[in-house]
Amino acid sequence: MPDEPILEMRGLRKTFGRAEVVCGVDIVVRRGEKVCMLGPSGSGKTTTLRCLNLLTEPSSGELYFHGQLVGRWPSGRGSRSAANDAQRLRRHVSMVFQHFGLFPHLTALDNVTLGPVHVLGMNRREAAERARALLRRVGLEQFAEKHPATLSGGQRQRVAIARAMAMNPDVILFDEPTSALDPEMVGEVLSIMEQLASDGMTMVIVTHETNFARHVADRVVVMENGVILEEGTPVDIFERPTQRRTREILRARVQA
Amino acid sequence: MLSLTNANPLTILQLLLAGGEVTLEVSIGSWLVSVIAGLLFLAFRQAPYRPVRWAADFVITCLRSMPQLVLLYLVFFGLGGIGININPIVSAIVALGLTEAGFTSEVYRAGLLTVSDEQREAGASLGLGSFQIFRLIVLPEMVPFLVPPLLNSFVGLTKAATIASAVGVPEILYQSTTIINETFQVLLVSMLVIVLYVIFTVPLTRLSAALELRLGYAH
Amino acid sequence: MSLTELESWMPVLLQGLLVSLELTAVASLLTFAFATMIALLRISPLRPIRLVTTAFVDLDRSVPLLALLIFVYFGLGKYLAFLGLPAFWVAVLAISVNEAAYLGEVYRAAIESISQEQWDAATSLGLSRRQTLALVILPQAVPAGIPPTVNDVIYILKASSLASLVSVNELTNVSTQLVSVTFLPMQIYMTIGAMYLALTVPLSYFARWLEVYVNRRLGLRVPPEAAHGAVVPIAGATDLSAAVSAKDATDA
Repeated sequence: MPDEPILEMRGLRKTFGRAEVVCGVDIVVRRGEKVCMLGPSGSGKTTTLRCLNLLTEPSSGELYFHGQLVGRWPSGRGSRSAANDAQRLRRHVSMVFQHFGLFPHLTALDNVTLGPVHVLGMNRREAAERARALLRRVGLEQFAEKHPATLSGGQRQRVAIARAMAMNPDVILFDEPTSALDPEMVGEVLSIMEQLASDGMTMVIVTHETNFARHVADRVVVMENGVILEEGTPVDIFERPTQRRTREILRARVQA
Repeated sequence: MLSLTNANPLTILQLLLAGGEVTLEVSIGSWLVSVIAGLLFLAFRQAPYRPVRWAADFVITCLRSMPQLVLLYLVFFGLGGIGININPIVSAIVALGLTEAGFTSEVYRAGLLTVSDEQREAGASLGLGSFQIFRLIVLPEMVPFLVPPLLNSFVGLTKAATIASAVGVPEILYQSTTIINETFQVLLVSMLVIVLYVIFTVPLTRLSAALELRLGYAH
Repeated sequence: MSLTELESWMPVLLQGLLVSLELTAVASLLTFAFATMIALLRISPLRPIRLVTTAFVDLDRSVPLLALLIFVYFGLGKYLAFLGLPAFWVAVLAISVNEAAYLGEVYRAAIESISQEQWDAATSLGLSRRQTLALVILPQAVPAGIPPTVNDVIYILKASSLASLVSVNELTNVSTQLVSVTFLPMQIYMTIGAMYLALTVPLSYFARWLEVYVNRRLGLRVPPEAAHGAVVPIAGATDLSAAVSAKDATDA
């Protein structure tokens, strides 16, 4: 069922101290969909993304996974069962970080097998086999035994993508995956992501890469000041945005 | 010694505070010794002759590696044994001050390192002489970095001063053992001493941490 | 001091040294265990636990070791003796409880120097808090904790001389007894001073070397992006040096 919603967040608000960073966002991610989130820095897109796998706990809102309620906020804070629910959710919702978040004390291969072995309970040999296959897919099989410090930024991010894929997730969240990269390494990461997209992976991508959004996204979400300014197909958003502000934001991005 | 046969907590507190005064004498004295001796050590460590630097380094390492109590015994009993009699308080000030000086000279050295060469070069490019550079640029820039560790060092010495009790200096711990021996009020006396130390050291430690944090932001 | 004199003291002094070493070994192990516990409690997700631990650390750090030693000896000594635990164990307990507050703070700083992104990355893989600590955070924090741990052994060996004041027959105590018989304080205290130095000086040079070595290894491992991208590790590093210098203040 292609239209089946995988992740659904309703009425998301997030405040840090006094600052309200996200003020009422509704977002639905359907199976196989590629959602790109654009917006100036500080617009709340990264916070929204982090709320989708509960790395950041919403101040208020409801989160559904496959139509089932995962949590409703404000709630009994910090309860053990809530923590367990969040932990279970994350098995199915992987994340790729801006600064890669690779574990520096582990080899590329061990980075990829850590989750499958310790969270999914897979045996080491099987996990290692699959990890090698994934590293091959991102073109890094020969770097399996290397530590992250010896890899380039682009290579690290590809390992991080392989690590996310190793969990066999229902959806992968990308938090500005190319922002920390030197320009010449952006391409290799984006092409891996495109490949992943064409394989049918469900993806939510916070990015500044408008070109990538234009031809990979099924849906583009433009955020500013903690709200969704406009949402639609890339054609809608890039060719005929309804908001003047959307056009300004996108123009600023293209020039940047 | 006051009679303690019908000791009430207030009398005990008074006796302890009298000991506290001696503790402060010892700790302020040894702090001053460490601040000055630390400077001398630093000078030797920056000496142009390598053997001098090595010797200074070795002496500092030895001072810092020796149990304070043994050093105190050396100064008080050892020197006494060869006819050099120093009173207990001065012995404690010297022994604690010298061990601390090793640490203090490290603090000075780290302070010098906080001032970048670029700052010195900027001074030189304004035509300042090397002493002027030190006085007008290096010193003012490094002093804020010296304050927190030197404050910590003083707090440490107020605690180390208890060791002076071993040679009969009537500081706070010596007073408390005397009181305990006469009244058997172990719990009361030890609680009072601990509370006094907490009241005295926690604010100073916090202050030092806060100052250090501000330095961190300034950079 | 003639050689024969020295020779006649040696058996007694060596006997005392052995007790000092035993005391240091046992107290070091306990300190290590307590410090690890304190560090983990200090970063507990539960606020009340953090607050109580912080208060304990503050209290513990305010109390001079010798005061703690004497109060425990006066207060609990007779009960412990009743349980068959001699003054040796009073000293072990007091030293390790007192020292664990410092070492625990150093360990905590080492743990907190690991960037938030490491926690996020591990959490987003579905690892539990405990798994994250055990598999991701601690393996990275441990190297930074090793040199301070060696330094701490040195500190404990020095502190063990205070046990002489609560009747433990360690090196300082036996030498004081020798002094009372021979009336040669300078010679005898010089001798044991040299014995302490023979142990602590090489150890402290080793700790210094270890620190340089570990820093170099860590420097290799920290990805440059993480180094300038996140504020956390840098703040953590100052914290670590602060903890170390605060510790040094009393150490010296």
